[in-house]
Amino acid sequence: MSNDTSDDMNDDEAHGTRANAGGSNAAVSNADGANQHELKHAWEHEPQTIGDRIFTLLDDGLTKLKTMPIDTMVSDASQRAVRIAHAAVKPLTILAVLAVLVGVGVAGWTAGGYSVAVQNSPEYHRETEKLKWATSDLMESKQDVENRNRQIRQAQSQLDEIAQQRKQYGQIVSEIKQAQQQSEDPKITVTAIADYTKSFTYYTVPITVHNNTQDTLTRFTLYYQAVDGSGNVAHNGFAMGESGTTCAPNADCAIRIFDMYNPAGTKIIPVSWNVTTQSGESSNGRYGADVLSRQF
Amino acid sequence: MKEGSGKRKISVVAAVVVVALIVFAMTFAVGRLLKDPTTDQGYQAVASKVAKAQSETQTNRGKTKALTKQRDELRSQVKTEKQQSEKDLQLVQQYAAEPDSSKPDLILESISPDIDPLYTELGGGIDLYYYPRFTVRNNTGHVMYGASLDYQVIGKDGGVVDGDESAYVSNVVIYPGKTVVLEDMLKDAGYSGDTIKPVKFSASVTNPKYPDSTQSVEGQYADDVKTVVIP
Repeated sequence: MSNDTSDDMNDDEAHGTRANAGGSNAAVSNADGANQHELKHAWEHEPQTIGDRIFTLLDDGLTKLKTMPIDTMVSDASQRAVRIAHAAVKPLTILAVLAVLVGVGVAGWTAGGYSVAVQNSPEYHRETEKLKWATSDLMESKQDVENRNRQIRQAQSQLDEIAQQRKQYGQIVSEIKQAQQQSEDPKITVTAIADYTKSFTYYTVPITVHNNTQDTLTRFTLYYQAVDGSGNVAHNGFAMGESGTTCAPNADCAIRIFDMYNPAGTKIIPVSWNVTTQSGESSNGRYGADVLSRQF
Repeated sequence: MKEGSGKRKISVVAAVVVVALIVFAMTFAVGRLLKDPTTDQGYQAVASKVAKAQSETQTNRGKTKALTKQRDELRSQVKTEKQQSEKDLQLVQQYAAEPDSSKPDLILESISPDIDPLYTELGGGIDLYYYPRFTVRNNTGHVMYGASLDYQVIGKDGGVVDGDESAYVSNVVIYPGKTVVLEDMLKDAGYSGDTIKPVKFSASVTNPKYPDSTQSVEGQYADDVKTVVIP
């Protein structure tokens, strides 16, 4: 059938006025030799590529235009124009069809691409999964930053609070620290406070001091306070050596409290010292809170 | 002849349409098959979100690292300061008390006009001395190292019998709020039945400007101050 149609088409172009639409071989034989040759050319080499076929068709059309036998044409100009137009229709149509097919191909290709539901592709799935984790990580990291900032604010407000508190107590604390610190290295150190004895109305507390100097001391006195359980000073007084005694360099020397105050129930805390050397130099100082004391 | 030509044309058009359909179908299939989802706008939008989230996460992690360091430093500072503050507070609780501003710097707690115990023991025969003892509370708000108190002996008729006596204490360390006893020896001049009345005081306390030195704080006692009758 397609063979037949092609014949007809050739026929049609050649004569334009053929009555026989049946398209038999006999009808074809009516056509001129050139036409027949072209037909063979077009169809006899069966395995043709689409490109070859299109080229052949175009070639046929153009050849026909060129070799159109002028003598067979009617002299009438309009008829000639019609013939030329007839001859031109085929290549133009083919070109148009080709263009359309290319367009269709491009459209098909594009539509094919678009038809893929990217949202359902494994790549897209992987990426959205990745986004889920990345978002979760991001949230977590934001939370971390917030936490750190909050912790820093907390620490800072704690520091402020502490600074405020220390400022409030600063003065008295420094005074207390000052009071508990010895004023200088003591010339006599308390090494022992013995039990007290009572005789008559007097209480005696023997105390041993060590002479830290390289001088012989002619006078070595220790001042003490008796502190009760509440930190109140119930009494204060002094301890000194027997009249006329001296204390040799680096020696331990005996002194005593001789007082009508009963030390029972209080703590005897040495407060300060006062010494005079053989050369008559006097000095004094305050003990620190770490001085040896005794609770009676 | 016309019908034949028309038929052919229809066939041609039909063929072209079929070919077009086939071409479309094939290119569609190939286009679909060769489609790379990673080049799709939708995919790329997601991918760029991922990249953005990841880079922000990195930035945040860097920040967190720096902030963690800062936090740890502050925390160790807090720890040190807290320990220091606790030590301070311990000192304050053990040794300090808030001064009562409605009262004098040396609050008079009690007075005892003791007779010399030796005199009592011996039953006379020596000069009689009184040992007036003034117990005062350190209300200066400072550490006190010494104090003195001036008092008068007021006769039974209300006149001043002796206006120039004073008791004192030195070589002591009196923390705020604690009491100390100021003593004097008062030689008797027929004072029995007279009244001892404190007048004014002076205290030696830490100088807030120079912690290793002291300053003097003075004050008067009001007329309604505690008094004691000499036995």
